Amino acid sequence: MRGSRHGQVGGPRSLAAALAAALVMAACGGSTDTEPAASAAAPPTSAAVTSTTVGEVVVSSCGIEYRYPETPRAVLATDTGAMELLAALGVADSVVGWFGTGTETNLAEQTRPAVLSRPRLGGSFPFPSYEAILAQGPDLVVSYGFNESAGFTSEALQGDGIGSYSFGEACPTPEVSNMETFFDDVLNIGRIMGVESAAQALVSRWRAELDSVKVSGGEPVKVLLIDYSEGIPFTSGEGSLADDMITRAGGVNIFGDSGQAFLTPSWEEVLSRNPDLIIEGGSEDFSKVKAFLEADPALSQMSAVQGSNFGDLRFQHNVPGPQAIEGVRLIAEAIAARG
Amino acid sequence: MSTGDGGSHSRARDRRLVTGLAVLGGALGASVILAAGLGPSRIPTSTVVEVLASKVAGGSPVEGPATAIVWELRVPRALLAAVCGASLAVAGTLLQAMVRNPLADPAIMGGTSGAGLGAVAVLLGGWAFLGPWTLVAGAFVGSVVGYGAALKLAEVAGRLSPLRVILAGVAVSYAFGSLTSFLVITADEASRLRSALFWTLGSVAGARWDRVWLPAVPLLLGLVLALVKARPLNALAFGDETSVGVGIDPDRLRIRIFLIAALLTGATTALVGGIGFVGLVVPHVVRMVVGGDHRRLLPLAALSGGVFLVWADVAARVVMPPQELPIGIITSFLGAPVFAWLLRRRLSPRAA
Repeated sequence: MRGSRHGQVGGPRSLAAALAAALVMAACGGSTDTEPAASAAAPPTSAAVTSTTVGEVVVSSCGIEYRYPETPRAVLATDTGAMELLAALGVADSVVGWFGTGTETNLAEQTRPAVLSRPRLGGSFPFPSYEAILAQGPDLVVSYGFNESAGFTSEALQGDGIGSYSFGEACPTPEVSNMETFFDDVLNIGRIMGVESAAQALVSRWRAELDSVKVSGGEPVKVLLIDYSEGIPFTSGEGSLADDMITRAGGVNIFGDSGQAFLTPSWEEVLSRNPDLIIEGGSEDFSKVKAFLEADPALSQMSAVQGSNFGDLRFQHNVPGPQAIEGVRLIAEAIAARG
Repeated sequence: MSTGDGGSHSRARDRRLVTGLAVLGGALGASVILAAGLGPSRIPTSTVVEVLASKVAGGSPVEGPATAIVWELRVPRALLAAVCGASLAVAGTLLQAMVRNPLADPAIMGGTSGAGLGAVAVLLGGWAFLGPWTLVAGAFVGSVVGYGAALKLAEVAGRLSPLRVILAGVAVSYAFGSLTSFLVITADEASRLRSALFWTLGSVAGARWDRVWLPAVPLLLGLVLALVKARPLNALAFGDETSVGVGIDPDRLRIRIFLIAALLTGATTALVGGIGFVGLVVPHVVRMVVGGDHRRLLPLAALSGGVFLVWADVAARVVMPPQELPIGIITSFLGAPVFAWLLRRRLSPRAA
């Protein structure tokens, strides 16, 4: 189980947020006292970003407002997706190092040389200790969530005069996450790094790529995404990026009504919701997961296993980051290939 | 406490045992059947009955996921819970008699953490020379080492100190538990060591028909081997001198008991992880009702432990759907207050 998927996200997804978010630059929705997306109409991204003085950028992330009088020069990424995004924005040179599971074989091709040109400091799970983060002397930490138990929080960083930006999906405050949330993240990080037009170009390109994804018509296919870990299915539910990705690919997430962004459902629940397609989220060897499901007397009864309808995604394909765009295409392909 | 043999006394005892076995046996059977009807997904009772009937009596198969849910998930789960609950209760009963300390139980005496470490070592090594029994064997060896270390540490001048046993057990538990957590956290995911949570709080979610036998065989073996020594165990409760007086070698008996407890602890932990409080609380409650004679205590504690864990598992899966709670949270949540109550009761002057 990836610790970075621990964001407590919930509540109804708001389509109005999509439009609002494109105009209002903010990270992960409002200050901490904002109602946790109680009304579907209210845009979750309510904290406005305003340039107060010339050159100063104000961005709020996870409910904390940060002012950047100058462009950060020593950025630390604590997540592969964050590092890949910084590289895609063309600011890899400002990165002092990154933590993550990214390797030669699972990084996005386009940005691979730029990502690998920066020092990889270790895995992202277990989370790096707070000391390991401070040791890099960053002026900005770009992350996929924080880790309370290691003392790695946005508040601690702020107290030490370090800016932080987390992908909205993993903020501690409840918030809906979807592809638009990620695009907000892209634009916000672009602003902080002084490459706003590059960020806008990226988002436009990705929107076009998403529009070009071929979605099969007909009844939506019931999809289970599992980030499998020794007998326990860990999955993405309501209000997660992966849930939105499944919808965009023409499927319906069997845990899309869970009220929780991330959950470990019982196998009984999985069986009774009977998925038509099972997507492995990349934490484990896909063939092993497939073999386990096929050998199990109960789980092999699911229609996905009976029809051998599986999809194999990388971890980076279904969490915030540039590879999520390809993730949508791969899910759509798996749906189309369903026998 | 009766080690008694007198005629009418013995017949009364037999009657109570038979009644207890009938009541608790019926309760266990009913619990397993009811548990097959309870779970996060709503399956009509009629469908559950149809599935059970078709499988047991060989009727026409029931369409849809109900068969897989009821017959392949819930029934083996309930049976595994019953077997493991019984094993833990018997192990706890034996340990409490062996060290003459009512606080003794598989977790407190280092057996559970030893078994967890043994199982993790087998998984890490990727060994399978005994097929599915390899994991049980590894956990058994770990359990022997855990209990053995605690008992060795507790020896003072060749004699077992009941107080030191608990202290030593706690030390061993922490040491082995930390090693297990270390291995689980540092190993890469591909080695599938399950989670640190599993080894500390347990789960019967992995139950399937082909796994129910793994702890069931050790349970039957252990229970028979223990019942054969039920009378000597009664004598042991009065002290080593009493045992020697009636012709029992207390040390040999202790080794036998210790190996049975390790077998039960190992087999259980390998399959369902570390589940606390069953081995501690169940023997006490049963002893309160039927007294300390191990000829009654052992089988009745086994059935009670089974019933308890079946219902603890039902709670674990219906409390917060679609997710499950680790079963150890339920057993501790229910077991700790009962134990606290027992503790107060024992300490109150009236009971003394």
